[in-house]
Formats: sequence, structure tokens, C-alpha cells
Amino acid sequence: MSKIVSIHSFRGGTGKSNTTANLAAQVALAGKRVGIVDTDIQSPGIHVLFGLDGVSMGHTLNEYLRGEVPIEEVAFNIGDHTGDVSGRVKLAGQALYLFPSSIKGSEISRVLKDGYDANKLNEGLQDMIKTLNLDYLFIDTHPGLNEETLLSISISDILILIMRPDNQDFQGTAVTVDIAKLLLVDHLHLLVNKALSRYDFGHLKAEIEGVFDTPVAAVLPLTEDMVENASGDIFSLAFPDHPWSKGIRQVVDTILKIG
Amino acid sequence: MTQEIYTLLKQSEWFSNLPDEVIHLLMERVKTHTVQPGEAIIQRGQQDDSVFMIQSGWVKVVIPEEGEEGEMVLNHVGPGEMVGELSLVDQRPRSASVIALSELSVLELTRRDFLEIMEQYPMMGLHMLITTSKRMRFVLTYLEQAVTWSHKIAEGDYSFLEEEQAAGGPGSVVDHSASDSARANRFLAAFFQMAQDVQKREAELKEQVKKLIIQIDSGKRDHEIEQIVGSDFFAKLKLETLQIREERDKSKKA
Ligand SMILES: Nc1ncnc2c1ncn2[C@@H]1O[C@H](COP(=O)(O)OP(=O)(O)OP(=O)(O)O)[C@@H](O)[C@H]1O
Ligand SMILES: [Mg+2]
Repeated sequence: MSKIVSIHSFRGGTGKSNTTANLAAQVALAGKRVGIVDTDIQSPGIHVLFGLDGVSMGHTLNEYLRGEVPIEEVAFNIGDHTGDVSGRVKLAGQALYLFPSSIKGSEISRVLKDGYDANKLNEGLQDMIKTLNLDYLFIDTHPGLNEETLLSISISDILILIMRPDNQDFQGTAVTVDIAKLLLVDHLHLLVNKALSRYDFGHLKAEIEGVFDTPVAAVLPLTEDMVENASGDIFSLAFPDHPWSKGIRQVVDTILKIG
Repeated sequence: MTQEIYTLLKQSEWFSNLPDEVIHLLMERVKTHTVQPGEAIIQRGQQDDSVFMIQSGWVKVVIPEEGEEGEMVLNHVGPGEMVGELSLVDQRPRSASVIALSELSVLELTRRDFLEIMEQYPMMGLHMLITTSKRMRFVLTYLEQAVTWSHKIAEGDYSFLEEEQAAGGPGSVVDHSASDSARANRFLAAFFQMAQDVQKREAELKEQVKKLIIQIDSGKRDHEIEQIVGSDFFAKLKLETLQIREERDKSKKA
């Protein structure tokens, strides 16, 4: 059975795209067939982590949603085009496919104006899984609780909800947790990112699990090394021994166990 | 008085074992000073190059903390011991201040006089080297322990604080003897105090995290959920989700 894994957060900038890319890459490295969809059509970002730009990404999800190209023409095979950065080269030969969103201004304003058909997206996801025979499909979402997000939450088997240990994130995360439970998501996990090193991670985990009544898959540190990486590579592949990467592999274990 | 100085020089680390001729030469050259408690005989940063020998009383060797009242105590030194030998050798500015803890009698020997005597009696240089090596060993003992503790602090492991105290370690003993380990221990006591402060501060910061987390306005949350759940879209989505799940469950069983 293939699994849809959505990575979401109520607020922006929590690390969704980085987390999605790293989880997907690690699962692919474990030998699974993996897809990544950027459903953040308003502000796509994950392609950068795989070294793609507007030209190299080729056909996009936008074109598929308008019925212009079949889904297999949107799929970009990362395993065949890793580039030569130290982390990504490890993905050579793996089955890891990215379904990018267009970063063209005109395409983005078109989506913002017309919206997009949630049902068509749902169909598209099923189509991706079937066509490429995927074990896992990771969805990088747009923050908040708009209709597309609600849809991706509702169709996921596993929902990873990222929050920063920061007052700004608590309220919205609490709402999102309740909504996910109402939508009967099978496996809901919180993931704490950008935790300051002065926090006691074990204590933080226990406290958050108590308040949100939801398991915390890992607590990932805020790290300057990540900022230095400047989204140029898949961090956990480039720096496998870094505490952030170890945390990511903890989440990967959780995901693989569910699978 | 002269007899006292003779005895002192004969018993000192640097000059014991030197022939009486040298001791007499030294006695001609050294100047005696009396210093009141709290007064400095050496000021950090100053460019002078005499070496001092404590005749009676105790001094502390300190690094004053910039812009603050505080200071870091590096060592306590007492009768028969030397201070200021580094600048005597390398002529660089003083690395630490030396302050009288009690009324003090010290002998001062200038670099010039020292070099003149050494020209005649090179053995004096060797004795000085031996003493300096002993100091080095003391510094190494200190460094080794401080580095071990620093690693533990970096890992957030403060268990050594309790262990050391239980074993009557540097946090508790006050041993004023001049042995290297006693000296290293006094020195380490300052480091130990710092580690305790770090642990305390860390505990306080962790306390703040607890307070951060519990702030969720449940009234506001219920209102926000109500708004989403009450929409037509949500009702439709929920229905579709249920259908999708049912179908999936069926196909699983099949
Ligand atoms: N643990 C971390 N420590 C330091 N910086 C981080 C960490 N995680 C993510 N970042 C940085 O935060 C920024 C936002 O990350 P990312 O784009 O993955 O978040 P996002 O949730 O997808 O954002 P958006 O909501 O804009 O799509 C990036 O610059 C990233 O490098
Ligand atoms: Mg993003």
C-alpha cells in the first residue's frame, strides 16, 4: 500500500520544504520509490533544494492541473539528475521524483486569480502514485488552512505538522491539530523545528505532547549550519552526523514503521 | 635582617643550591619593599621587568575582568615563592596583576641585575628553568581538569559538580599549601564556581520554556475551528474523505 505523507505547518517559514526534501530523500535512500509534490503553488520553493530552476524543472503541476500535459511529463527524476553537490550525489540511481510547481510570475498570478480544482489535484496525486508505482508520496504544502491544504490533510495517511517552539506557532498549531483529528488522519505527528539549544529537548517533547495530545516525532535544533547550507543541498545527506540530520532519520524511522 | 634575607634566598626555589658567593651577590642587589594589603606589586599590562620574591605574607595573582569589579584569581603565592618571572624572561607586558592579601615584605630583583649575575653564574638560569617547569606542570594539571569539565559542560552533563563536591573536591577544600595539586585545586575552584553558575543559568532558562508553552487561548481556538468546520467546503471534504477511506479499507480487505 502506498502512503501519502503531508508536511504542513500553520505558519510559514517553519522548515516545511527542507523537511519534506530531507524526509523524501532519506526514504528514497532506504530503497523506496518516492514522489514529492510541491502543492505550494502560490510560493513554490522545494525545487531549489534539488538544484532546479524555472528552466530545468520542465513541465509543471500547473500545466497538469489545466489538463495540458500528462502527469509523467511533470515528474522530474532526481535520481538521474543529482547535480554534483556532496549530499545529492548520494541519490544517484534512486527512484525519487519531484512534481514541481511553476515559479513563473504569470503562472502564479493565474492560480491566485482562478484558484485550482482541488478534485483535479486529488486525481493528480492518485495518478502520480499509480503511474510511477510509488511507495510514498510526500506533499510540501502552503502554510495555513485554506482549501487546498485542508484537502491535502484529508487525503494523507501520515500528517507531519511542523511547529517552532514559539508562542507564535502554538495557537495555529492547536487549531490545525484539531482539524486533522476531525478529518480522521490516521497518523498525525508533530515535528518541532528550530528549537534553540538552550531548551531541554526531552522536556520540550514531553510538554508539547501533553499540551497537544499528539506524538512528537522529533525535536530538531535551530542551526546556523542550515542557514549556511543556503538551501543549496539536501542537508541530512550532506551532513549525516549533524544533530538535525539525526532527528530527521528518527522521523524517517517513524514513517517507515507505519508503512 | 640580612640573616633573614640570606635564609630566605637559600630556601627559595630559584636560588637554593647556589654557592654562597651568588647568594651574597644577590643580597647586594635586591631591594626590600613593604606592601599594604590590597596594594598591587604588579599591574597587568604594565611594562616593567623585575622579579619579586615573597619574604612574608601572601599575594593573589589575578586577571581583572574588563569594565567590571570582578576578577579571576589564578593563584595564591606565599613566602619563598617568586612572582613576575615571565616578564623578567620575555620582557612582554605583565600578564596578570599581583595583589597583597596581607601585609607583605617582598624582595625585588631587576632584570638587569639578574642578567649580570647570571653571566657569572649560568647555573642560576638552570634553577630558574626548573622552577618554571614546575609551574608548567601545575598549569597542565589545571588545564587537563578544566578541559575535561569543559567537554562535559558542552554536552550538558553537570554530574561532575555533585561528584566533585561529594569527594571534597575543588568546590569545598581550602588548602593553602604550596603543593602543585593544592595550587591547581585553588585555581580550579574558580572554574568550578563558574560551572555551577552555568548550570544554574541553564536551569533557569529551561524554566522559561515551560512558561512559553502553555499559552493557548482555548476560546479563540474553538472559535477558529468552528469557522472552518462550519464551511460547506469542509462538510463536503469530510464526506469525500470518509468515502475515500471506506474504499481504501475495502480494497485492503479484498
Ligand atoms: N532547523 C533550522 N535551523 C536554521 N534554519 C532553518 C532550520 N530549518 C529551516 N531553516 C531555514 O528557514 C528557512 C525556511 O525554511 P523552509 O523554506 O524549509 O520553510 P517553509 O516552511 O517551507 O517556508 P514557506 O512557508 O515559506 O514555504 C530557510 O531559510 C531554511 O534554511
Ligand atoms: Mg516551503
